[in-house]
Amino acid sequence: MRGPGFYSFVVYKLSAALTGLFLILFLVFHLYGNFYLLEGPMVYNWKARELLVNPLIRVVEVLLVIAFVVHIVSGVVLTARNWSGRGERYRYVFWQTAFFKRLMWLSGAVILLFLVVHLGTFTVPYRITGEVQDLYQAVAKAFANPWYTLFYVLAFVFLGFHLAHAWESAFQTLGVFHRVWTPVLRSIGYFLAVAIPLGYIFLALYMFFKANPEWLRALPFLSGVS
Amino acid sequence: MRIRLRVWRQRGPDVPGKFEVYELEDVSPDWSFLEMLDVLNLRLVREGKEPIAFESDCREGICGTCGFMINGRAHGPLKGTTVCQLHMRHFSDGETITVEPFRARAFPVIRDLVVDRSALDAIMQEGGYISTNVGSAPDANSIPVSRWAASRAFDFATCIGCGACVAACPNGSASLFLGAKVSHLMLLPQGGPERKRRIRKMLIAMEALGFGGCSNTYACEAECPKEISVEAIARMYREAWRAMFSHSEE
Ligand code: SF4
Ligand code: FES
Repeated sequence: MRGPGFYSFVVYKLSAALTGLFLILFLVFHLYGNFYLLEGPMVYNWKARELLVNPLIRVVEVLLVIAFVVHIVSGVVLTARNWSGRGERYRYVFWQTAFFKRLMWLSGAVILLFLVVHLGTFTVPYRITGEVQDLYQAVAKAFANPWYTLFYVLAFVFLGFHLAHAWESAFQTLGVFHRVWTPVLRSIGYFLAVAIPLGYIFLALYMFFKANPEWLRALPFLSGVS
Repeated sequence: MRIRLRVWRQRGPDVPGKFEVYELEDVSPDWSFLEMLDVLNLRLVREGKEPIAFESDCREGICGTCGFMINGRAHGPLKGTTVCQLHMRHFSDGETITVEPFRARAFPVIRDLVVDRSALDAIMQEGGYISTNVGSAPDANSIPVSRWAASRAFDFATCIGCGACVAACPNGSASLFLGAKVSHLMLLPQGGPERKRRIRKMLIAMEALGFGGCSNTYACEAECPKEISVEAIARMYREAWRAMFSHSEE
């Protein structure tokens, strides 16, 4: 029997899993870098500059671009294939599994939108065109805007849902299935799905309230704190 | 018991179907779901109407012929049960029950609740077998099989090929079925010689037949009447990697 290609489905799965795990690693390092925001503009800008001139970063950047492209392409191809496999829809709908496991395409799309905005606000002006010299200032300006902050927070909630399925799913795709290790991996996955977005959201809110202290005072449980 | 049934009626593969409502008055809690449909069909025949088409054979949960969706769930709400083994006592008096055929691109509706599941057979024809010379029966202990391997292989061999996993899957994928068949054979020495060819051909067939891929939602495991573990799918991937990244000795 002739098919659309040799194992093509399994190849896309493997690509999505491996690049996905790499991107999770990137998320952790990026978050670590973001925490320098707490040290103020001097340290943050200095650290950012230091990273920029590090030759190793060139390699990582190339890998990152490849990983993002491969991950997005395989995600789109798999989603399209899977939708075509489902055929006519059920009239009586019962969702057997958690919504975020079935809506990876949606959380993926929101993260892609976020990625584009993020590249436009920070990465491109700082890294490529050089329009932005003071990165801390650019971050502070962006997060002073309540809408930007809200978008950022929502995007990371979606990232959390994406990760909640992604981690466990990646290991299953790699063929890892073990009486002891699979439940352990699942717990690690849920931990990461909460911890990573929480870290980013914390820093976003930190920058927002720093720029808008009057909003902080407006919080009922903080009234009275000057 | 009083039961209100909403049943999907469709005259043929290419005609649009719709729900038809039937009121049943004296349903015994000891009837199986199929027995209830039998009684309803008798009534329909007596009234000169077209009976509801559905499939069954063994009616004891071992052949995989029966199967449709009850309230959106493959083989109904009870875990680890085929629809022929699902009894009316698991429903409440006066309940409205919605009955629909399995739906997936690879399972076109033939009529009412009957779908064409021959695509599963087509996957089996690609590699769900072993090749061996026949002759006089070999000595029982000439091929050693550990007790562990025998019982694991049996776990996967309990798949009855009903297609509930495909029906429950948001992608209409046959991964659990394929994984169960491959795992069953690879765990036994007889399955060894054709391992690589088997996984390659079966995976290609699954794609070509219009099944979707696995997105690891595990809806299949939750609905499988034989409670086949998604370990079968992890093993399917493992077999694929093994075949992909090693020389073929076949
Ligand atoms: S794996 Fe389970 S649900 Fe799928 S065909 Fe086999 S018995 Fe049916
Ligand atoms: S009729 Fe054989 S399994 Fe239900």
